[in-house]
Amino acid sequence: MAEQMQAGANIGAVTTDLGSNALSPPDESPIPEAKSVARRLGLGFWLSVGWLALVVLLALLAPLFTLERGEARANPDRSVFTLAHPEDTAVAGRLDSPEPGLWFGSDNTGRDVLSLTIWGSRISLLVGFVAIVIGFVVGGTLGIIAGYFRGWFDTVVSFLFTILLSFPALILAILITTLLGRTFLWISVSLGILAIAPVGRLARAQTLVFAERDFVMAARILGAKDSRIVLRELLPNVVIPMSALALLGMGIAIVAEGTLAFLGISTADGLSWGKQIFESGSRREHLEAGPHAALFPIGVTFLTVLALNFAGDRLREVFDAKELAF
Amino acid sequence: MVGVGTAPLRGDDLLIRVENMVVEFNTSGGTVQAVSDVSFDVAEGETLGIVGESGCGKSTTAKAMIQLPPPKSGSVMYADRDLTEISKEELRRSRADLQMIFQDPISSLNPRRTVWDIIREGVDIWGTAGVWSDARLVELMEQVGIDPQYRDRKAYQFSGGQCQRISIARALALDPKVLISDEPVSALDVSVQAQILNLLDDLKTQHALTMLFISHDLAVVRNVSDRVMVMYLGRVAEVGDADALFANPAHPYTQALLAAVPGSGVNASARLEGELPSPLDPPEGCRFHTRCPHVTEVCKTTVPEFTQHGPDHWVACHHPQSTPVEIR
Amino acid sequence: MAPLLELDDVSVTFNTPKGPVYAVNNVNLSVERGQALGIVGESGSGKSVTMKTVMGLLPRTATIGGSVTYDGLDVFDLPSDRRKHFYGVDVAMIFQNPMTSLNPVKRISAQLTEGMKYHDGLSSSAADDKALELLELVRIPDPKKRMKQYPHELSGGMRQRVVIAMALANDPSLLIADEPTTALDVTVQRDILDLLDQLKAERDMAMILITHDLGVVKDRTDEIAVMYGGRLMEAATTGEVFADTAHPYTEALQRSIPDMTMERGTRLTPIEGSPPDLSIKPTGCPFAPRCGYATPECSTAIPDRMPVPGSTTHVFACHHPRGSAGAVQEVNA
Repeated sequence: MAEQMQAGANIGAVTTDLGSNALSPPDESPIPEAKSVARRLGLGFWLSVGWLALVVLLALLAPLFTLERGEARANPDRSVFTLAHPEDTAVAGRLDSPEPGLWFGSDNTGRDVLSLTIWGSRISLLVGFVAIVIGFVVGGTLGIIAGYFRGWFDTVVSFLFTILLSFPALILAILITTLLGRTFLWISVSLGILAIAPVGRLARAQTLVFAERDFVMAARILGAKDSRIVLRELLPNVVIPMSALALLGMGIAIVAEGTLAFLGISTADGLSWGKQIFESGSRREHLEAGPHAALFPIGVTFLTVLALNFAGDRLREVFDAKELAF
Repeated sequence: MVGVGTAPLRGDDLLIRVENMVVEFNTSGGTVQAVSDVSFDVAEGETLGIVGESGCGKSTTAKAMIQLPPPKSGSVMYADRDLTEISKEELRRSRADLQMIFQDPISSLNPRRTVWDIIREGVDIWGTAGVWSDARLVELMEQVGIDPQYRDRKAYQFSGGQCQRISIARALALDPKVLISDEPVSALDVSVQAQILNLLDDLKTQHALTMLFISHDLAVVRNVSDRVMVMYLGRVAEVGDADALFANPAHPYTQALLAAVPGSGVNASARLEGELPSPLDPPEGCRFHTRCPHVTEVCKTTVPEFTQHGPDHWVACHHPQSTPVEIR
Repeated sequence: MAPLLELDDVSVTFNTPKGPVYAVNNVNLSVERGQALGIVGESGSGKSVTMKTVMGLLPRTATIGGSVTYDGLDVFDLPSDRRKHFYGVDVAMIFQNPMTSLNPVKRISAQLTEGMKYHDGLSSSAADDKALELLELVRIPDPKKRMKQYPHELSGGMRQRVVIAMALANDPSLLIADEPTTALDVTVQRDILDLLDQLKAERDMAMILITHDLGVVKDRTDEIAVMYGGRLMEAATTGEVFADTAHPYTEALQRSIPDMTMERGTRLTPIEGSPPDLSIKPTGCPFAPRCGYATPECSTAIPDRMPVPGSTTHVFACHHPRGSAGAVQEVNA
């Protein structure tokens, strides 16, 4: 393996050294960097991003094309591009199959499954996002500082991460939501706390790697203060693998929220994918009569988490590879 | 090597004067004394070559001189100030004078920053109040042979030799007095090494630099150095004028090093026995005694002091050799 | 007698996502039994790729042209039973980093005896005896103790000795050493090179020593091949290469490296410019852009390989040779 890499390094050496006086351009034709990176991320990455953009856009714009409560029942001939209110029951029959205007069919109380899925995405995505922001900010900050300064702070933080990782995740989430309330906020916070240790550990490990590099030494020799080294030298390097992990983590948080919902401890207020799957998919007779009511939110969740994972993976691969591409 | 003592120091009016420096590291195996009681001085405008094999402490010595990390004991006088005594902020303010370039040109440059940001880093920290306008930085880029039109590129778009040029520009942007070069050409292609060596030679004159040149390559050190210091296992074996030291190496270790230079035509029988001892448990007495062809009892018990072997030529050995090494 | 190993017009192209990389172009080389050949070149010269071609170590993305014959057999078309014998028994290879050949979690004895027990059906104790013999052969200090140690407990020089011992286990007729001492200290480097020299002589083994350092091969090989940009620039006996350098690249290489006989402060003569981009199909001499003697012809016509007049062993590929080849050319013109 190492030999192969060595061979690769030898043959791939598109070296471009200049004479001390010759200011000739590097041999490689000047390809704008953004373009080449975009291309290297590949079609799969952009398909993933496209799907995520669609889901996020629909979640944001949902109020624009959603009818008032009760309006759908009152207007049987409404436009096929409008949505019934997600909490409107009996807008259609029970477990009706998909048809134009009722694209995802209806569930066992006659609610519009598409409307439920789009409105559910608002909470699911937000829970994933808030959770990972908490993990990113708290874990990242702790991890970078611990990895850079080492010493007692590192010992304390590493121990904290270990404890967080050892704590049974589900029990922590149940504890927090039971004690503080089954609201969107506390569910996000409990999932965010769970994200701190994985993100923090990665940030610490990456910081340790980059802090050893000579450019950090060079910055110190130039007289850079610690704050400058952390923000200007280390952060830009550490943030890429962290972002990749954040995308993966967001997927995990969405699934985790679904799991909590399935256990019946999701948001008491509002909808989410997990809650929707729970309501449509936990009774056998419903699943047999109209599996679409559960399959659509499951499929959308699946695709979204897949897209997040795939995008995160590609991001990491491309940026890791670029370092080695020398 | 073995040697201790400050005898080779040439007076107290030189630019750099390091006395009895000790550097220790804590490892899982215990405390390692990477540099043991090393003293040397460097005159303004001089190039001191430091040679030795891996683990001899040559890089650690240079880094400890600029307090990265600070030595455990000893003093480092630079321009009449002891760098080990001054405050952290004072030290930071002295840093501009003492710059360094590294062996690995890729590791030396932040992969996420542009060449311009990298070269401008020092000016960004200290401000352009002094001599360094952006126009002069562009001039400096040209001087080191990097076309300023590529200032917005990142390091991975350049070859190893070009990265080394960028490192050199970064180091010179603060107009330093001292440049430490730590194996600056070891990682470069053979055909590129001479470019960088010549560039350093030019810049030394143009910027009136005092240099510490660290290398395992004796031929390179001989080419660039005014004085040479040979190190072994954390101590100095021999130090002196480069011509005198290479023409007439007195320490058996220096002789062995010279004899090992491949294809140089150096013809000496000196050959090292055995392996480099663990720095965790260095030999008593002369640290070289376990591998020395001329070892006697005294070597095993007593650390040799420096003795003078020529006008500017000091050797720390109980049995300095006087047979000149024949260079064909 | 036919040479032990002969490369005829070998070319290697790597097909990468960015397009083809012309790593080796029309290389001819040969090694006689018991002889040492040094292949000198910097990174990207194709020296390692050429030898990996021989060893079948290239990735699938490589397109290989030309032929390699070993002892009269076509290496690319060996019957499968012969093939097993060829790699590791007829020919062995060692690399720059000994850790690539050593398993970090196995004792030295296990690494050495594994192959013997498996291939040769030796009993444990017989294999151990042979392993110890091999360690003695490579002059490792305290071989009995080393048998029980793990690779990380050995110094770099000792690890390389173990790797050499492993390579010698099957008594190869040809040993290919790819930068075997580049990662080692100079004093250790000399010991390892001396060891390889001695082993070669004792066992009448042919050796190919790949290096970037002309100095390393100077006093140690019978012949030298100088490569640059995937091409053979010059090949000759070691004496001829240094005494009557024909190729400007070889000449420039010698001038650009400081050596111990130079006066202190001697200005070096660098090779300006940078090594060629191998993804561009060459239309002329790869060294032309950096060569002091280049004429327009050098960028448009790939120079043929030709002999130095009066020598049967010295060939070069250059439109404007130096040394006696250049003198003869001038007279003819």
